[in-house]
Amino acid sequence: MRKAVLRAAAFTVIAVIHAAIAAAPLSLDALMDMLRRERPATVHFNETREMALLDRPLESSGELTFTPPDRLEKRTTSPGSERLVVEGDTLVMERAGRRQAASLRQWPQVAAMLEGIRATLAGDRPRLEQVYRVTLEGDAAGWRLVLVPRDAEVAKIVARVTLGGVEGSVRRVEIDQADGDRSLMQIAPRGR
Amino acid sequence: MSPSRRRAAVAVVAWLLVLAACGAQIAHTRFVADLSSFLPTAPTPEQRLLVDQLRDGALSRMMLMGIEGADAAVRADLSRAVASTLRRDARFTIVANGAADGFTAERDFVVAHRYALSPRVDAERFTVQGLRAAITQTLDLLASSAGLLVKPLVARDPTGETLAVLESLQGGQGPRMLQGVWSDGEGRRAVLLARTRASGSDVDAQAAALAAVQQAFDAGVASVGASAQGARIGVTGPGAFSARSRALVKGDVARLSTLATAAVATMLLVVYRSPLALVLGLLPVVTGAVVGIAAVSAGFGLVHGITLGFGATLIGEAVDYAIYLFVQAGERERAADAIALRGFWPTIRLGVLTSIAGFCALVFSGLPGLAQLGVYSIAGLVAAALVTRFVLPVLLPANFRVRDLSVAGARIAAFARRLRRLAPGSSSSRPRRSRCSSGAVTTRGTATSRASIRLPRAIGCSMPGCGRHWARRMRGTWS
Repeated sequence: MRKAVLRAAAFTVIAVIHAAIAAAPLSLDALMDMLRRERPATVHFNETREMALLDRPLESSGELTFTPPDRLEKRTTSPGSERLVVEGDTLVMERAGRRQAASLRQWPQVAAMLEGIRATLAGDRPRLEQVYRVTLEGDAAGWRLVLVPRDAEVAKIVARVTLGGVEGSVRRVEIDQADGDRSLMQIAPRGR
Repeated sequence: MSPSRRRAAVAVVAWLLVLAACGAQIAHTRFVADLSSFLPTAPTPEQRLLVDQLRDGALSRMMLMGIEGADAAVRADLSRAVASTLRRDARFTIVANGAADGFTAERDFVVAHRYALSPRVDAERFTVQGLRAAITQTLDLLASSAGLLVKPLVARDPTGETLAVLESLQGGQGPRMLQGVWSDGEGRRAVLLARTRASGSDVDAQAAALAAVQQAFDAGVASVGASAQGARIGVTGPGAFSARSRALVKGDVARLSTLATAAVATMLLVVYRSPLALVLGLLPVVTGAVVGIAAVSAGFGLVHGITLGFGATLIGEAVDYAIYLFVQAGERERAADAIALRGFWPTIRLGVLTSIAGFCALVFSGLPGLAQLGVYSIAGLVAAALVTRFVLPVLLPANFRVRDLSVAGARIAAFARRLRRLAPGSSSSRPRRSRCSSGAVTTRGTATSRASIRLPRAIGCSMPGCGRHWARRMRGTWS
């Protein structure tokens, strides 16, 4: 509880400072423009999941590739090997020698989370706003995009998706689940 | 009351009592239509399994549906509409169209019985090492992209047995998905699968389920709107086959038996000239059928549909008993009915006895279905003969006479002779005479020389020998 209060206070302070020092507040359209212009690249990710069920966070890492307009590939190399490809409406997961294909319609919560990342990377504002209520904070040198699901069923699972980045590149994706569990994915250009 | 009249009254009362008793027996008889009666009485486990599966198995309850026409999105909408309607219908236990929500009940079942079903559960599973391995695997899964989907299960099932069961159930890739629902390989129709609660052999329930599917589809079309107008649904599966083939057979049976009954009734009416006699003529057969069913029901506990069908043809010869009686009654004075009986009864008695001798072979058959047929036929024929012997003469009108058709018969015979002369190459040198022209015809091998029956010639003409003769003549004409 105390930690949460502290965190909220810290965020508030950061936000206030950002607002104070920002030369020009970033508009959502301007951010989307920057994201659209970003060239496709493969990036490294490091994901940490905190769950009430577990006493320690779970860590995983690997590579992410986004190919506009809607293909997102996530290759996990640690702890286990896994490959997840989302393209259009289809989700394919390869894990432990098994390949499973599913339709995103079957998993609305997963679809919502993926769409939050995918539409942001594509700089597709209409698609993003179709699924989420979007608020933007910060400026081009450090922005924060807060996505709250519009669909009540999805909101029962996913409370909020927060993306942070610098100019056209996304650096972190934070997912807060409705039950308090959360995950943080930190993204860095490959090789670093 | 004279002794003969008293005897007549006793016969009629006894007949009515027997009919009532048989009716009571039939009222709580179970009729079955599956094939188990035509299996040996002591089937092997394989045979028993086969019949059980045919009758009750999961496959016999399957219903496959395909939605065609319109475009893929509309088909998917219709698929979802049909599935959601049928899922609310108690007649269906499973309705699957590929959407994830189709297997809620099954998933709950798997979760509830995860430790019994899981292929991974063995003695090692619950040792320290086994648990460590299982839980490590679960943690890996939680860290993976599927983590969010797995999470709700982990608290209940930390060793991941539910997923192990689901994985073992997954065969290959499954049907193609299009717009979130199953589709056929070419993507031209949406595919649904349903299982009925009723067994596949319950044809009434299967027909009702078929109707429910069509209804659900029509409702779906109405709710989707104009874009769904071109769509249609096709249903197949064992239940659908049996419901449709029964409807076809029913239609044929109704049409053909109406025609046959009308033909027989017309002919008998022409000969008897009395609707009452026509009704009386059917009494032996009807009584025979009732007694036969009651006998099978009392002896076997249930009556097979096939017994009813074939049994009716086997005891059909009882129609002839009445014909013998009527012809005899027509030829002699009714006042001397005792003498008349002496004339026709030995014929029928011999016919019944030879038939019983034949049907005895069925009674001792190892297949309950055939034994049922034997019991049905023997009981039916004995009852029919007794009704003909003791009841019919009492009920027959005093002035009953069969119409003399010998003039008409002679005309038909003459016509046949003329036809024969028309046939090229066979007119002059055939001394053979049509049997139609002979007055006395022995029928179906049941009549003896001592009691040969004079039948009106019109009937005589329909006898099998004559038919063959005719066929030969006609072939000679046209070839």
